[in-house]
Amino acid sequence: MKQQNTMFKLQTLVMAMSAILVLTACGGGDTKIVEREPVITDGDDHDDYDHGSGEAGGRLFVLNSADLQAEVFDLDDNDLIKSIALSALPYSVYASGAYRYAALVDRNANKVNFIDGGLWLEPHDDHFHVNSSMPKLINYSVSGSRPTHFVSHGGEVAVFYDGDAATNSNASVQVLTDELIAGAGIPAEINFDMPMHGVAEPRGEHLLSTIRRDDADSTSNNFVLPDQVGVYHVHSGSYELEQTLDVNCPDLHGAAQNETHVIFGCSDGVLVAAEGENGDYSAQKLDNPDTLIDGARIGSIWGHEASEQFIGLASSGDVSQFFVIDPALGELELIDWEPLDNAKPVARGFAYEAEQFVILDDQGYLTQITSHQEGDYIHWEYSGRLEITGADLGEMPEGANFSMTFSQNGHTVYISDPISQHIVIVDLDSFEVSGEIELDYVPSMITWLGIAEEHDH
Amino acid sequence: MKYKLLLGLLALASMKAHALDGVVVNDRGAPIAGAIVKGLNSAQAVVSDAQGRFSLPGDSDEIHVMAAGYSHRVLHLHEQDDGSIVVTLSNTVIEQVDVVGLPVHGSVIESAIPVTVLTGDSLRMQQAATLGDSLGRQPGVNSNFHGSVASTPVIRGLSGPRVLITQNNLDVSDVSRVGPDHSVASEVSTAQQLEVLRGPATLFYGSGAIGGVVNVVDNRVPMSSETRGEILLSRESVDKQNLASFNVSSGTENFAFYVDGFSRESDDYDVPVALDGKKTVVNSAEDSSGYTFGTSYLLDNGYVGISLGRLDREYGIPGHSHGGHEESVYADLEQDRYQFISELDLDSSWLNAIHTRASYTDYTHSEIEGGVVGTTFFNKSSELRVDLFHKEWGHWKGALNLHYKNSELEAEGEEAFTPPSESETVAMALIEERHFGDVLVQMGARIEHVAVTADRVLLPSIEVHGHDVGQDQHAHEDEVTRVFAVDHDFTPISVSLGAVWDFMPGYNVGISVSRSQRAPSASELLSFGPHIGTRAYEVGALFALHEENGEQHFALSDSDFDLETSNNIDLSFRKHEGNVGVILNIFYNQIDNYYYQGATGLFAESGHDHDHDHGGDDGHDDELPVYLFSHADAELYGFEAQGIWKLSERWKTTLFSDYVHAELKSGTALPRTPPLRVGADLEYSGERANATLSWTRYAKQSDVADLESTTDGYDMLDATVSYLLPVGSQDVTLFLKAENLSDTEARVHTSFIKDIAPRPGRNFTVGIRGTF
Repeated sequence: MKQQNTMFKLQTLVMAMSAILVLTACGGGDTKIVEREPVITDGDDHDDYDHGSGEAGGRLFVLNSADLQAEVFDLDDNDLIKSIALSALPYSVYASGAYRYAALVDRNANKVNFIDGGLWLEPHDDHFHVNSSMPKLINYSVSGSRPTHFVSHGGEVAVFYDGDAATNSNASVQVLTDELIAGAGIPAEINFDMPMHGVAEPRGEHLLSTIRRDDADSTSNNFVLPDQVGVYHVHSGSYELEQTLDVNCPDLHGAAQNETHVIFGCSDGVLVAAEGENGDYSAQKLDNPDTLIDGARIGSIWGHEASEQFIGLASSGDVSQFFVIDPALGELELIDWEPLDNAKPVARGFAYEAEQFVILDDQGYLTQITSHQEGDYIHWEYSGRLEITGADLGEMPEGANFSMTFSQNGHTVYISDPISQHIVIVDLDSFEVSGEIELDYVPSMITWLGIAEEHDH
Repeated sequence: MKYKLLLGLLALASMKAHALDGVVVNDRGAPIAGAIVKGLNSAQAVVSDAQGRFSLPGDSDEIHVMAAGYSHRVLHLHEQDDGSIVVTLSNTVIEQVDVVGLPVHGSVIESAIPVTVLTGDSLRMQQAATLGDSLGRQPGVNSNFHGSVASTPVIRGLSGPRVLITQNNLDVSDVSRVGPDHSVASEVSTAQQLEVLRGPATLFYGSGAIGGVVNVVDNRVPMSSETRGEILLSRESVDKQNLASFNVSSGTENFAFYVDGFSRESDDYDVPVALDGKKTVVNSAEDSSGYTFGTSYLLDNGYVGISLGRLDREYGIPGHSHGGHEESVYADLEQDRYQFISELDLDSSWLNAIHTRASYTDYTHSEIEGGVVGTTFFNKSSELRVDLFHKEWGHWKGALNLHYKNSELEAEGEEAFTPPSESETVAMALIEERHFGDVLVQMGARIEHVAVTADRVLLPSIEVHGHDVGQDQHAHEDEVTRVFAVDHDFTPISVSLGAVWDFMPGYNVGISVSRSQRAPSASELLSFGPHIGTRAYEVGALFALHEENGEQHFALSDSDFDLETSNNIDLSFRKHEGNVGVILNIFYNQIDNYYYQGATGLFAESGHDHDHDHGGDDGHDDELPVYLFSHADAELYGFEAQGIWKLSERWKTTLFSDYVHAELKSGTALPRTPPLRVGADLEYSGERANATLSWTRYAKQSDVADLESTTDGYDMLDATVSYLLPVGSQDVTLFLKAENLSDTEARVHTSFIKDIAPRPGRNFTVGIRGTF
């Protein structure tokens, strides 16, 4: 009886189960697909891996002076990702040492503000993590009287504050790294006892800075320009003068460095400081060459980690001369950059791996100078010119000019064209325009931000 | 808002003044001391005294009684006459532990669906660096053995998006379901219990659990302030692994505290055969550590607690080295996990108890090659589960479960084969059970809404081609990547009905019938790109191959994205009292629209740039076979069998076997299906010394999928010896473990990398373990 009972129970159970399962409605699904704008990439560009969210191309900072606004573009798809309102118009804009931040140098307000571009590497044991975030103006600034020259080397930046005689403010130098900015740290600094229009080159634990002497001792014609170079060494957050180079550099203006040398422009030539094995520096002067036109001097110099040579610029009137400075050979050689009539350089620099030097002029042309090995000697010469605007130069908005910035992870330069209101992208390998970014305002200053790739030495 | 609700519930709750008194005895009438007596669904438990007496505060309709060495007993008090309660327990050889991961009460012998629980000493003796290897010898469970570092469990032939891994019933929230080379972000050495639900468990856990659930239980949110702790130190020979772990809980009258930590470091492991001239598996080392803090506020009627846990794990990715040259390829995983757990007994007019579990998890893992991050995976997820246990209604008792889960998944870098996506699940389930005399009926239904959204699903114009084509032209034209915004909405419904019939004392049979549905995962739908972990170019079901002018290319698929539906029947037989215990399970699982990766026979560029010089003749070195997700009906059936025989007071032997057959209805076998397995253990339990000798035979697997090779069978011989040191009142155990004693070359059919990573060779582990 009991067994029957149980059998009945089981039967009922199984029937009930089947009934419920059959009655159950079947779940469903629904899919919506919307096709968006496709991404078109250059088929040649196979060697850079494709990061999904914009680390590969980096970002571009564009200053819109009229609207007092900064815009940041993602260079993977050239999309605007952030507009940032500014409270003051910067005097100049530079990238920070590791290209994470755009430094907005506000000379009149005596301070430097920073915009976080939002792409950076974070050290992690034995490797780095790629971090990305939306660009933003950060709540950190550095201040000093009349920040002017902003020199970046090896991840460090030396900000040179000229000081101002009118307000009894003296010159000073501060050294910043991206980590220091991120951590809102206090930069190591040098304070001078008079104002000067100087420059400093950061080199890890060392810093080479200009020194202005009393007017009575100075060899400069213009006393606000220094005439000496000091080697400073950092000790627990402050710099101490270790050595003053024994070669004077009258009317010092312009400086650059590479791994072994630091070059300064003087009215009578260039001062070459070479780092010895013990961290001490020796100095020599390369006299101005005969090819230098009258009344000119080398006042701006560019260097690059991957180049043993430097390039200097001397201008007088409408003439701009570029010289190769070879510190090893102790020579200065004129480069014929075949300038167009009235063309004045507005921006220039070594490209990504220093295999070329490009000059952007105010006529809207990009001139390419490339290096060639001739025996032991590396020779630089004109190799091409590219028109980057078809617009009528007469329509250049007042006070505006072309501006240029180099990508630090590829052979690309970005040039702002205020007339056509766009950014022209130039592929330096093929030396042709490879794209553009449309704007609806007059761009003033631009700078590349992102994760720089190591150069092959 | 949540707090207000909680406070309201706390205010509602008040304990009844009276208590339930009784005595626990064995089947010879002798009292059992130390038996745990607990009202069902209640956080309260009491322990019987030396005379077997207990007094359970409050009022329970059903009590659950358990004691070591005895079969569990559930008493239905409404079926009892008034008077004092006498609970008779029968001795057993089957270890029975309550499953935490089920909202209804269940253990290995009491549930309609098959479960396995690994806890205590047996957990410690079987724990490995990975969850898969720790559970690899449980019936119905295999490890997908990914070179000792990333192995995850395979349940009845299913894994990946079909097996859910949970930590204290909450999704483990990593990316281990996306790739076999991704480690599970959970740690076994600090866990208290591992639970496996075999077969569909979507009713309790939703879409990801159609094949089963592995629940890692620890005490991170402590339920009591009793001072307890465990410490373990061990060293392994095969990979020079050093492991240290501990967990401690303690507290005051009202507050309980918990802390755990572990550190594991190992080298590449040795194998019995030379691979590329070396008897080690390159990139199989690991370096990981983690800690957890938790605290609870103890109330008269339960507890409320929170915990935070941190896991850091660096582990090698074997099978990632190229062309014989060794480079360090490893993954660096970081996870922060916050959990909130509360169990409160209530005395409201319609609720018995409310269990709340919530978590937030922030997970990142980067794959690093030659010091450079290649791919980074992110998963940020939050989850909330609320179980509302209602008062008995017509003798039915059960719970309404409300469940919310959100997961934002993102991958960046060269192997970002899945686009960023967000998956959101909202679900409601009702689980009920009732005793009809000797028959326990369990039933439940769940309705779920799953939304998978992805803003930028990429369809690159890759060149796919067969491998017999001679030319290798890669025209450098502009490449157009189509971009789609995709919104998938699914409404899976699962129902299940089960019964357990105690047809005579000490025996029962169980039946469970279920129809479960699963929404395909983001990676199954949206993938498009190279996945080095599976050594495949993966294309999601959103896409299909089209042919135009004799050339093949990928475009959007025209077919529907159906729910995967499992129709499963489980039958169990258990003999659980006396000196012989038997558990048998057979199952039949018919899965409609089973999503699987099929080989297309095509190859595509891996896009994997190694900056090394390629010789002129190295043709398809950097190319991967293209696998396309599609769905078809599948059929899986098999069994698990376990027999335990207590030979004498000291000796016990266990035999087990399991098998699964898995094929598409078209007759094609599914890949990486575990082979037939048989095993035997001989166990000695002395006063202080314990020892086991285990043998497992993995049969040859010749049911293989397209492009899959057969795998030879092998035997594994393992042994353990442990000795309880006579030190004070604490238990300090010295142990020695030997694995693969015969140093056999063992290729694991369930592994994606069986060709390059066999199981480790002979391994000895020596260690010391203390509990207090």
